Amino acid sequence: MNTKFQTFLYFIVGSALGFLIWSYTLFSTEKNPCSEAVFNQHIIESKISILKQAKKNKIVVLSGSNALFGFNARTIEKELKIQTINCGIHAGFNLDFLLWLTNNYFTEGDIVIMPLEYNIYKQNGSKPSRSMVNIVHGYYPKYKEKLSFIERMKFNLTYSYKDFADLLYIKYNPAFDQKFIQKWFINNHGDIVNNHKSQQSDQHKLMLSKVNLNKVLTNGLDKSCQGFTRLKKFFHQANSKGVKVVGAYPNLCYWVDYENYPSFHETPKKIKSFFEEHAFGFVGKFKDSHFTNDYFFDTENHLNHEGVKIRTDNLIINLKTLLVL
Amino acid sequence: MLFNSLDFICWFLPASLILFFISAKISFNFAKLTLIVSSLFFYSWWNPAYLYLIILSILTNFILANYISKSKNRLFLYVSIFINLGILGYYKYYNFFIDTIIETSAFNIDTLKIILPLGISFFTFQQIAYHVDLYRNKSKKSSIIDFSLFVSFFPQLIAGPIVHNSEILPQLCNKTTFTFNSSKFISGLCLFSIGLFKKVIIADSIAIYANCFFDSVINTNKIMFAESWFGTTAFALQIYFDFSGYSDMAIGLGLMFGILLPINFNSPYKSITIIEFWKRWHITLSRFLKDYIYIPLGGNRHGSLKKYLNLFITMILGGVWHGASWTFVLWGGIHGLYLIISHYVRSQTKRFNVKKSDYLNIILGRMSVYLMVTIAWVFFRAENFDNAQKIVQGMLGFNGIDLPRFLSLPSDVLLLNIVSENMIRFNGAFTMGIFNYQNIPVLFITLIITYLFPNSNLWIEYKGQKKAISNLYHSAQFKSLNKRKCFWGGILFFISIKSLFDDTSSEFLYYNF
Repeated sequence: MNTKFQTFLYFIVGSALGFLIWSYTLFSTEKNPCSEAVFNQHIIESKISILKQAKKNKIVVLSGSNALFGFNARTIEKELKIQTINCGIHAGFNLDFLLWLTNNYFTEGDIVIMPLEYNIYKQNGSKPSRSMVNIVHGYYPKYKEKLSFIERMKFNLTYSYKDFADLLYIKYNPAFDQKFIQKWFINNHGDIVNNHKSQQSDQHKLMLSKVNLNKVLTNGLDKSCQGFTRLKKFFHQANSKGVKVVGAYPNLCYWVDYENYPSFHETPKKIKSFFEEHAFGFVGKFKDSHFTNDYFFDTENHLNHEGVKIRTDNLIINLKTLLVL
Repeated sequence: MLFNSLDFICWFLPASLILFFISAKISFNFAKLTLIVSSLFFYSWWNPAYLYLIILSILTNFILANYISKSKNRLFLYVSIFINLGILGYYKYYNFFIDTIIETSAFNIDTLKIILPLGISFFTFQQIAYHVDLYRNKSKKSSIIDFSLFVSFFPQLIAGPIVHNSEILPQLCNKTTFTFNSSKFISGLCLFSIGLFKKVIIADSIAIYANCFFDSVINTNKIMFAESWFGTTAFALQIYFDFSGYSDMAIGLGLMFGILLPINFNSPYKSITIIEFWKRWHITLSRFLKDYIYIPLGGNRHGSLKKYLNLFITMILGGVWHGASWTFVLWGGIHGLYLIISHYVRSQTKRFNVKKSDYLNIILGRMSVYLMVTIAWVFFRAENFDNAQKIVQGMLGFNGIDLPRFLSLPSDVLLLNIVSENMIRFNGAFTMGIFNYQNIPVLFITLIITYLFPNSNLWIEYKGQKKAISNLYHSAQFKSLNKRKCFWGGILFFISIKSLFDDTSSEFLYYNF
């Protein structure tokens, strides 16, 4: 073989070997979580255990953490006299994964309310998020079985060196994860209880000060996005099981600057019309989901206790109308 | 489009290489046209609105070059310099100028919302140098295609190296340049991989510490000793690996297309004097400043005092070139002073015949260069004078020196009697809560790489290694890299590419200049 071609071949062999070593290393550390996965798993576990014990004809609020920090399921249950579960988990997970985790627990007569974060509609399956990769690697490697070879490769490549170092640290320091799982307190309805304004730390305030305009709302959303495609599939499954799916807007940290973007008004309309066309219905007005920065706890999706109260009261009124209670 | 983005590496680069080599098979000029179109596409990816600016700049400068070449009239040269500096001045310095007027007078003038066009400082200087060389008969007039490619060639368009027309234009006239050369290609690919590794693995990791430190300075009044040295060292390493990584990638990309670009870095932190530092750091900028500012000012021809003044002015202008801010002016001024002192010391020590290979001399020299350069970086990176001042005070121990507990000495030890207890405290080195001891290994390993590892120029093999490093690429006949190095090049490539999947690409620091 030509010597010059051989050198090029050695370059390719080097890259391929790097890839193989990395893939094997990840394979051999599956089911070992990094700290971010430990934290998210704490939320997932508490939600799944509530769902497992739940009865039929319940209300489930399913979405990323904007529901976790947006509604109080205990209050809804008290007012509507229907068992209610707050199943807000994490917006970093894609919709497919959220449904993979929860879909089996929805039964006939259930109402699933989906105030999905705007980025969930737009999520691009070809580039999994860091949270998604971490949780799947640490706790749900089975989820990878339903992915194509290319998607699995992308999953492996997306696992960061930093999280891998963290994983090794946790693996050899078993006591380490305890301090992470005590971060949020979740009641037996799945609601966060330690999001009072008085519990806001400087770190939370600093995070809030960095909140900016939501890119999905400023750039727009079209109905060919993966989130819509996956939702349609879910609507079909839900319909066949006798589960009613209802759409809602997620919390929004409102800035006047939004008004300069035409897509700010178009995007919510698209979402609402999509749910009205394909699902059972849609609750709430877009304006009702707007809150000023004062009502937020740490990030653009997380309301504080006061914000949650206002949002929950609105939802109760809207649900009473929708369900004719 | 960033060199360290998946869009560039997975789509733009392979597509432009394939198109280029196919068109090179068809015709020599067609290959050049393809490369120009690719380069303009690359430029417009960032902001299509500024595509007109670079095209207009190329056309105007080509017309002016024709006039200068034909008439040798000094007026046309002045017009060229006026137009080029006028455009640069408007985009880069207008708001700086207005802000300074507002701060120093009672006038209230509105600033403009101007976005600095990418690479404007680089392509403006290249074109001015071309005109000056044409006027001095040091360069020949080239065709519009060659000139356009010389200015817009995408590997060097955004952040250098600042190429001299004598390095590029002869290559563009040589038909063998665009014939596929596997030795050049594999050397280029390996150099690109090393540069990518430097940027995404080393510089971006260190950047976390540097950014964290400089951000926290804004809201802190007292900056402590250990934190200030840790934070500024992190920045010194970040900017080195960021920019030298970028330069390696640019040179590597040039090689893949068959064009040799001049080297830009040669382990600057291994210098033992500031004079040597500037011969190793951003080599092509130093060369430009020397040839087109320092020498025209008179260089060293009119005695020591004039030489020192010329050095100072040159470095001030070098500082201003980096950015429109008084902190950059001060940074340039500090380096000007360093150079004056360094030249003075050198002129005095010549008599004592100090051996350069003396290890103590090397260690002390490197330490002094490190200390001086790192202190100067504070002014380069800090948001404003106040922040820079706070950091320098911390570095000089004005707020006391906190040391690790294990270093504490019995109270009757002489040292503690001499210095006040408030001055040196043994409560742990990091007291501000920005860094901790676990961060030290990362910085330490990076320092080891910086000082003990061979640089990428030495790693990539070439014939004639003994030649002066600045002339390497002029006479470079690339020997095929050995298999072992290609293999490691491949591994570095994978490690870096993998990192791009899990992170969003960060801009190169020099994109701002």
